[in-house]
Amino acid sequence: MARLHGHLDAALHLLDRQVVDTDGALVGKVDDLELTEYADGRLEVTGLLLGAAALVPRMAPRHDDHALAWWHRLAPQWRDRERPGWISIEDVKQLDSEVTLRKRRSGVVIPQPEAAEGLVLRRASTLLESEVTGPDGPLRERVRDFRLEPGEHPTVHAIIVSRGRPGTLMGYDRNRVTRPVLLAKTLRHFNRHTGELSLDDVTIDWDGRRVEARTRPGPLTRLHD
Amino acid sequence: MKKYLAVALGILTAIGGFVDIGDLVTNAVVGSRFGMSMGLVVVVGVLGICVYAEMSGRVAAVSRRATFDLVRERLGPRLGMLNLTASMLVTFLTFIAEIGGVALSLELVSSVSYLLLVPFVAFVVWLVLWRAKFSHMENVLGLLGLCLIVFSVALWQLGPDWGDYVSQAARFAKPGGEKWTTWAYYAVALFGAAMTPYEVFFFSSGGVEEKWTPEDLGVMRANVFIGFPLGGLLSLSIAGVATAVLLPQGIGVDSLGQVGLPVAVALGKIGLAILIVGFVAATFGAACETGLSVGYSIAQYFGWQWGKYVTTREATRFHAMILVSTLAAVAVLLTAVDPILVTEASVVFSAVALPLTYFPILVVANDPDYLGEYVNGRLANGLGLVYLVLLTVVAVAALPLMVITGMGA
Repeated sequence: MARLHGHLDAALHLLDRQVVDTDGALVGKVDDLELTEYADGRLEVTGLLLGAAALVPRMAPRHDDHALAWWHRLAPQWRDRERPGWISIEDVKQLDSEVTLRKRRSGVVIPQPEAAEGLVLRRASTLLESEVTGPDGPLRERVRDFRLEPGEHPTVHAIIVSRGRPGTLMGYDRNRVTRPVLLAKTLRHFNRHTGELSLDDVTIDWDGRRVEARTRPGPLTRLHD
Repeated sequence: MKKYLAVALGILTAIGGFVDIGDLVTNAVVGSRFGMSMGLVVVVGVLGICVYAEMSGRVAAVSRRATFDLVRERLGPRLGMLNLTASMLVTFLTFIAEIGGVALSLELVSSVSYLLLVPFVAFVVWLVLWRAKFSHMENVLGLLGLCLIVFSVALWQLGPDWGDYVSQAARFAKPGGEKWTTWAYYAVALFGAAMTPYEVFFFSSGGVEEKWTPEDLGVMRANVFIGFPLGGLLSLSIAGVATAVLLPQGIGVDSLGQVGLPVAVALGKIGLAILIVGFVAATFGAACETGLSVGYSIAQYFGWQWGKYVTTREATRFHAMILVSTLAAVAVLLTAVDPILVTEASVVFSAVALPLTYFPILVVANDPDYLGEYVNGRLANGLGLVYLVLLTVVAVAALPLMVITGMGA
């Protein structure tokens, strides 16, 4: 199950997973993901973000700036307190029920480096919870997850949207988990509006926390291992 | 041969470790007021903890993920944090009750006020959690906890009318003077005592501590399906002796001495001596388990290194959490709050908090990404769903019943 080299959904399979080092020692949780945005709009997962500066904003997804400002105010004397810890995606060896690194844990987490010229660094949590606008106006759906294409550098290729019913992190709406049947049917019913938008069909307004879609969301495609 | 010994040891410690202060107090209170009319509640509770522990043990053995890893992965950081807060408040309440229980047990022997004993007990609990090997702690305290079998021996000596006991349980034969709401309140408390959430946090984290693999599933299941029900029989014995001795005399249970009184009546001094060893071992063992569970759960949520399988230097924040919660528990007990009252509250709040962790485990136990071929079968899912409904009903009913009955007064 070396999933990092198969198709995967970022929130379902990668976010909040335990990170362990090459000896199995515990490193931390995947508190957020670093996405690098290229000039052509391509979005690549380039790093794991760890630590309070990554986790605190996720506690208030629609007010993450305030949450981070609050975190800074707790100890204003510290420079770069808002800068989370970072592990390069290239240091990740395997992803199954945990994220295994190629290295030992001592010193493996460094402050998140600045973006290279011409690139913009984003966080997965900014995209998640974004509002969605369709061709005919605002939709009731929000961004719940995004799909990654396999490869050395996992690339975002689709966005999953749903209407904010409970259970989007359970895996039932992705057709992965099918039992107990009664529970699966109930949660699928709640999430019956879950759909998929190709990245080619959307424009992401990062500052406005909005995804503008040029088509209506299509049905979810099945994930392949 | 070695494997059989390991299985036997596991079963014995599961029996000895099953009963804690919540089971001791609640079963005795129920026996003294309602006789054996709640016998089936214990049976349903014990089957529930078997279903829940087997699932989380299997997840731990196959995926090496303990409870609060899964809670955060499946509920996200926000709902996960709410869940952690609620579950830790309940576990901390239980931790306080267990430390209080050890001190009360020692008071029975020494006649020194339990308040003076609390700091000493807490220090020894912390020392064990800091220094002792996980397996030593589990085995020694689990085996000593077997002394509580004196409850079963006492019941046999008292020679009650077994047919009457079975009939009371089968007919839910509530004594005439009690209201049905009070009966329901104590049924919820008894259910919470049998299915205390920390038992599963500890069991699944313990599986990771002991490096279970899918090959250990057989041993794990033997512990759960033989050890826990035998532990449940101990619980029933506690209610049974209270029914035989305390109920006819109209003696209420508001101290640990009264929990043990029927054993003294049936078996005299020797029985009492063994009983007190059992009290100390069971409550001390549970204090260690709840203290560890607080550390385990918080560390698992944040991804910190946890566990006694690494040195204390390698898991500093985990041990810091244990130290802080031990000090906080002492502070609460030194306010002179009645530990028996804390126990009664903790079992009810346990019932409230149960679905929070049960639900994510049920979902993950069906997820092939975590468990591959070891996902739940039909039986586990059938029972899993029945208990999901039951736990939800109990959790919703618990607090209104607590208010309506004035904590069962």
